[in-house]
Amino acid sequence: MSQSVPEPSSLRADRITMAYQDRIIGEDLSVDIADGRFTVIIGPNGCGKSTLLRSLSRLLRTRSGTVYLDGKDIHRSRAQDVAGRLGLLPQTAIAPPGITVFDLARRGRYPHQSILSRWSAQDEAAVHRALAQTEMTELADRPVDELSGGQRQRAWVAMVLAQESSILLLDEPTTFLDVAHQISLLDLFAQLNSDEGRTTVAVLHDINHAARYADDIIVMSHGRIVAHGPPVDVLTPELLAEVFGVEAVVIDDPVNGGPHIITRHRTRIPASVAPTREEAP
Amino acid sequence: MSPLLSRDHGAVTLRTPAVSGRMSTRALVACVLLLAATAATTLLALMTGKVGYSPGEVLAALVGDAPADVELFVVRWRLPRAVAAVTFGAVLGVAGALFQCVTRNPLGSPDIIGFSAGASAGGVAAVTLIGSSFAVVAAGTLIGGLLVAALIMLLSRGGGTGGFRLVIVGIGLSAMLVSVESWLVLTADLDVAQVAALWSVGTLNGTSFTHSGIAMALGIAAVVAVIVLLSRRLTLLDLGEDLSGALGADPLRTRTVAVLAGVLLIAIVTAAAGPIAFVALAAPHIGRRLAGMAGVALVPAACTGAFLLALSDFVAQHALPGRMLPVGVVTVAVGGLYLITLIVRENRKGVL
Repeated sequence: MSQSVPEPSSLRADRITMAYQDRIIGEDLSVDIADGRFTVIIGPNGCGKSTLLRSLSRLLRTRSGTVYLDGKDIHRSRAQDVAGRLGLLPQTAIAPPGITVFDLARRGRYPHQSILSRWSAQDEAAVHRALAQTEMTELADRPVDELSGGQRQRAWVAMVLAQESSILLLDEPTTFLDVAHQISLLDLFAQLNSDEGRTTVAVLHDINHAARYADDIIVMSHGRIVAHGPPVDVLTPELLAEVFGVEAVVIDDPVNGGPHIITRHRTRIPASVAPTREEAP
Repeated sequence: MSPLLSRDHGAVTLRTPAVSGRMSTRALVACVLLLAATAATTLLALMTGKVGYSPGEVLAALVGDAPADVELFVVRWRLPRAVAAVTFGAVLGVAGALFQCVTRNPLGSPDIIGFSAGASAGGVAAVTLIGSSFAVVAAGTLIGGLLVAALIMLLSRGGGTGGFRLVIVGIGLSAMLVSVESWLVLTADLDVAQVAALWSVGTLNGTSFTHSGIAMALGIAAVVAVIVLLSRRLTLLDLGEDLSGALGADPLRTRTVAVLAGVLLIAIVTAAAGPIAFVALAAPHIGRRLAGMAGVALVPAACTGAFLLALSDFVAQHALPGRMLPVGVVTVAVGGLYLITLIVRENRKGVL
């Protein structure tokens, strides 16, 4: 199975400024995504997490600074080449009414196809592998809109896995799922990451999920990266108070090891948590 | 070594070292049946008229093996019109599918959102102000279509990707263009006005290969090019802007190319036959349902469009004994009914 992922690519941002029209989301931001590791981005609503993923995946042109993929300016690379190496599952994905799981997963093969080669043996093998990895083989011929929320999200994951990129960016993949489906999906990502060495970056809301699954955590606040490192080093009561405005106790997770956060009560509402619109435009 | 043709998940796969593709079995069957129905309608159209012929006589005439009088009726008079109905129908179907994909709205057809009205007003302006040769009318329809496209894009800017604003702006613009067209016809000389008025209904009466042959050839070439070059990109656009971009197909570029191609397709047909309404609206939707496909479906739209226009033109020729109606009258009558059912259903779904 490990042959499905090509050699690791490195992804980094060098002093980028991210903005939508006149609204600057983050300035002078630099980050190195560690190859082959599971990185989780956390931060309050509106802090620029999704925008960072969009910038890292070439969807948003940075105002200044450069995003490098394999040492090359991502905006100077062909879109289809980038897509072959870097996959993104955005929150805004739409399933056309009536599309089957198989047809959805199939569309993830676009970067590897051409005008003449529209369904090669490699395409077929990759789709079958992605469906098997997400345990969606049985449901392959079912319409996506008839599935449960957890199954539907797995169908989307199958699509992005069929892309066979060595880097996987996931924007809040577990939002709107019940806790059992959240855990099973995170287990899947962790397994793909450890089995295949696929560099994985996920935006998550649950800090304890981040603590448990991440090799590295990136903490964002007000468009800046305030901490980046292994959970034990990053998740301190001081940081949680500063970024999320919660008073918390950090204990050792008695079951899985690593830090576990127990919130005491809310101390204050930081500006970015106040009821504003979501961070995406 | 996998076989050349294979089946899985309800689809047929074609695979050679250089070329490979996949189409759902149901879509394939639907398209073959539509093409068969189109061929049958065309054969019927070639057989019937002031003088009737048997299928055998028609086929003999087509292969150049019939008496001169049969050949005159079948090949010289009836064939150009029948071929025009099939090709223009396919062109309109694909154009409609392109616009509906870009606007994400079943009402986002060139008939509704003003591209057809723009091409039509451009054509009428060309006829009344310059002349009625194919090149002049073609230039008029293309310029009219492009101007309206630019105007609609400008006015619906900032309306997001939902396309609803685009539809509304287009309906308003359409209404204004109809009045411009009326004014042009009213102020023109009587004989010119008659040509323009007849043209602006949309008709295949008097179609010949010398006058419309270029449009038919261009139409077929454009349809094939759009299907080959754009269909995969359009299926990604169906998944949302971000995902399309993340998979390597810049959504803005897909959208721009699709709109330009759609305007060109509409202009080709409109220049040759006038604005034939509602085929572009109905064909993509009917085709997709028959083929059981999700999202954009260009090939079924082309097959359905060809069948709809071939059938409409047959009805236009034979509905009233001794009188040939312009095909536009038939498509408007049938399409109006279709539009009502569409609006009622979409309204129930809460999309509008």
